[in-house]
Amino acid sequence: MDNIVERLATFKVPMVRLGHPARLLPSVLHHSLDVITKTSDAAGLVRDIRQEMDQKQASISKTRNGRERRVIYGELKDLRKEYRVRERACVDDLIRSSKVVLATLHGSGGGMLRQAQFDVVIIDEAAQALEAQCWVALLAAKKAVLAGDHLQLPPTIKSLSSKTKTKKEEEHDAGITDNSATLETTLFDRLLALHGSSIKRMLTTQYRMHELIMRYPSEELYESRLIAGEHVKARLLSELPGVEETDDTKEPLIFFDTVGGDFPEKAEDGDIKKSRSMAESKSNEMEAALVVKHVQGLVAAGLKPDDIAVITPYNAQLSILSQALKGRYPGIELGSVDGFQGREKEAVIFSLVRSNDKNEVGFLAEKRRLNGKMSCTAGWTEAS
Amino acid sequence: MTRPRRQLVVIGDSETIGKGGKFLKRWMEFLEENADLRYPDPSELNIDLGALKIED
Repeated sequence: MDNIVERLATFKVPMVRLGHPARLLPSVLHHSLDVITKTSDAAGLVRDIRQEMDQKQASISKTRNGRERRVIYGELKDLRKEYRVRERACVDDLIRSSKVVLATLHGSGGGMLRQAQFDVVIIDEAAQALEAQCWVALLAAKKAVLAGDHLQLPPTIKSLSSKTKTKKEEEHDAGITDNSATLETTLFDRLLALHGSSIKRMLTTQYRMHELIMRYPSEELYESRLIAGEHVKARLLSELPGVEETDDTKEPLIFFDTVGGDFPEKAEDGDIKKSRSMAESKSNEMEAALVVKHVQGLVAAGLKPDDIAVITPYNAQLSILSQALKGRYPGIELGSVDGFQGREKEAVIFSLVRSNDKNEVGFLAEKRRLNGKMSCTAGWTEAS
Repeated sequence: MTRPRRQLVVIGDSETIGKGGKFLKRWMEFLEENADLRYPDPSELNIDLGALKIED
């Protein structure tokens, strides 16, 4: 959100950002509705009333006479009323004079936007939002644009009962939609199912990945339609300031094939103290050692640990890696595939863990897991 | 898979992973063809990860 404010600011578009100032980046504070209503000219009048109220309030404590107090209370009540009316007018003015109002889906339901109507409501990362959340914002829209990537993981639903439903509900839904009407079905999915791909526009140029990193996801998931932006398609680690060219830094795509049984996986023993997911988890110490070695190589070549992420699908592996790496490289990001922090990194190391002669792969098999979070390229869904 | 800018390193057993369905099988084949392919030597690795934590 703050990224969008920063970029819009360069076009000198009048805009306000809703949300508590304490949670905003300093660089976007002067667009905060809260901050503007306290500092702008229009806010002067509101401030004057506030001051008068404070003075009255203070004078009450000096007055002993009950009748006088009652008079002051009466005045205070009127002032408070006027204060609310003016503040409201001030907020309405600011919102009406802004070309763009930025808010979270929840924030867009706040009292400040009560009765506001918008020509267009754009929902970013819509594939990650619950449909109900989207409607908070959409009620004020004449036209809606949803931006997002339907191949991203759907919003995380923790409550299982929301995924399973009664027979009756299933029968009821069967006639209208498919039987996947759970909270995981996003508005994005539903609009595509309802209207087909004619309402969709795919943005094909991505500005993140080296061409070689992009190629497989593009072939498999995006019909080979992705294009790597001119500035990113050949970027290497060795071109970063302060990074030397080594065997490890001049390659965009490296595969350590641990085939042959020397890197066996290990099942965590079912220790009762561990959570259930840990008990079923898998680890691979040799792979972990390989990760550590590669990280050491990259850092020795000059790469900052902050620029490296290590990802693995198994919690048991994550905990081994964390013990081995966190102490020495506090800045490094360690995460599971489903982790929330889907930000881009200069280098990502992926430890797949599974290695056994029964050829069991487990839950790695789900495509969307591996695709992970991807916001650089996106399908657009548009509906009027 | 789509988070790295300049380098993606995959560590895995192509035989086991390749059995996990078409998507993973093709991924392994793609990596064998397109990635800088390395067969790590287990004897060169320091598997004492606990020791790695303290030593510097």
